[in-house]
Amino acid sequence: MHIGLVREAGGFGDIISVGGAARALKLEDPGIKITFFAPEEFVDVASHLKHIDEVVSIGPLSIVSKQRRSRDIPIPEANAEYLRVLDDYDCDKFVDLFCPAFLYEATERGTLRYTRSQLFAMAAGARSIQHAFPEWKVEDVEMVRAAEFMRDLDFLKTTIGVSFRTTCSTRTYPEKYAVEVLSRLVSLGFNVVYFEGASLHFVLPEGVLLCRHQSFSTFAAAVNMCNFVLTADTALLHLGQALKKPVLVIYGNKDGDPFREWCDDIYTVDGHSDKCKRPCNYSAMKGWDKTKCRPSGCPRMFSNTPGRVMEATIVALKKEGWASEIL
Amino acid sequence: MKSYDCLICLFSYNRYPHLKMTLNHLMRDLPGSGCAIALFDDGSDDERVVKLLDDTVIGCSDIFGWNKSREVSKPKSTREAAGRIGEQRRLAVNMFLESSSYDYLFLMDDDVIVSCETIREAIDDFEFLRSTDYLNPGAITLHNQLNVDAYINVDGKIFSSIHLTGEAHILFHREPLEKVGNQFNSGKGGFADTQLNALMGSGYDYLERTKPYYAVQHVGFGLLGSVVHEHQDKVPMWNEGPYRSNWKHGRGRPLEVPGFDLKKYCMCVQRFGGREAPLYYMGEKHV
Repeated sequence: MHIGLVREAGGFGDIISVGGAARALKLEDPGIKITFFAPEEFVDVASHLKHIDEVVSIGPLSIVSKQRRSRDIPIPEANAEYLRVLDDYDCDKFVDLFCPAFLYEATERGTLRYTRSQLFAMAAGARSIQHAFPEWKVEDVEMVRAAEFMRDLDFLKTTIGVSFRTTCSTRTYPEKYAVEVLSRLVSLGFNVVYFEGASLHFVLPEGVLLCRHQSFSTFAAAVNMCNFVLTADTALLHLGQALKKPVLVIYGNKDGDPFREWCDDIYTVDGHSDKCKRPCNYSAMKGWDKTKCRPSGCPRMFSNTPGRVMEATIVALKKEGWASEIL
Repeated sequence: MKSYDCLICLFSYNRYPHLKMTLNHLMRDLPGSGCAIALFDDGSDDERVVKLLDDTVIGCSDIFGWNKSREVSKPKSTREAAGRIGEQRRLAVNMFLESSSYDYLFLMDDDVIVSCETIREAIDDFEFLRSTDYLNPGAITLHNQLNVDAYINVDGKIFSSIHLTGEAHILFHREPLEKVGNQFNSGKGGFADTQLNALMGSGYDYLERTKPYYAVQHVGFGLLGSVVHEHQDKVPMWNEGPYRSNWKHGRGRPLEVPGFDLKKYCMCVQRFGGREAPLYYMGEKHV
């Protein structure tokens, strides 16, 4: 059996999550061959995912997004130019990994039961999603590069990898809060490495090592050298999970529920238990209702104060055995 | 007794034109499909219905008999008609549970155009979903776009869990039905809600497939196309026209069923009304 998994868009988190689908399929049938068709920009990332046998570029993201096709047409019949490459591969089936999670999450009840990896696994036809979680391969040469970059850190101390920036403003942790959390972590004696993919949106407190302008594979190797990951809902979450690191994720809503349910080493802090002063409930059927909160929880991050995040971080660190600095 | 995978229970009442068209379509690929048909007529006083059912049973080995309920008067209200549907379904489920020859039960009305191939397709989906560890199907309706709660993409097909519906194109598996028992009855909601509530209350999912749609179409629409709704001043929205890919919002394409010319049928409804349209469509009546 040869399965072609096709993901026509980013970001990094989604690409990494595809690894979970591949793992679920391989666990069911080790003889299966999996080819992952991804935009050119993500080929290197996808090549680091375990359980994927082959990664094929479908061209640059700019071209793919310009020719965006109708989702009503199944992939084999779609006439998008960039999908011509699929003709060269003799796959038994091609699975279109467009956002099944988006469809699932767009519910009025706001019930979330599965992670993106698990939803990809279902879409790919896996029968079991218990182990649909990605795994990342770190090459020796990348580890050497990461060790060189992090050479000034005292590795007798616990190292925490942090990222607060996401591609969407509602998921990004507010900068004032971010600075305070980072300062508190440094003052408690932890090594703190801040991972940033673009420009920094605040001034880093002293003592925090900035990891930027690195290739994604070096970035991943550096995360692998951390003992714990503290992040907003961004690539670092999926990378930390794929590297089997304990992760604490900061959410504005209930998006973390599936991780809480399925993953023992992923902790979440979210704001949905706090009463919002400006409720906004949107239903596709009924429109806006400004008198009650969304069933999926408040998307605003402001209720996750530095105090709450630090409290949750310390609880998680203690549970994982990485809190010797504060004991 | 021959072992079948699926027992199709077809319910009829005084709609000879629709029943004939439904049976014609269903029987085209019945032989060898692993399906058997049981017919339940709720005391039709139209002799054509009785003759059609008699003739059909005699001529086909996959239809093992039909049951005509006691002589009853015409239902006087929608509520009474719904209660009578519930009673018929109760009898059908009892018959299914008492026999061990079938794994699946498919309930359908006499105005549903569906082939055995489509029912087999739904059974294949059911079997696949039963083998997963994330869905626990208790029933699948072959209708689309009902009370959609949440979508999920499984093996490239979009399924969604739904709340309640009395639509009569529901596929059940024996195991959940045996677990929760026969909850159909002639009381309020007994035509489907009680059964589906019991399934969902026991942890089963009630699902529909929204992409791709099952090739199913109902033909009992239009003026007097529905016996249940003929007492109402206005036919409900879902009975105004054929099933569409997005009927909730009055949009979407009408659903096509291979071998059935929906456009031609809709023209017959427009011209001759919902009650007699099938006869004109089949060429039994001419202008």
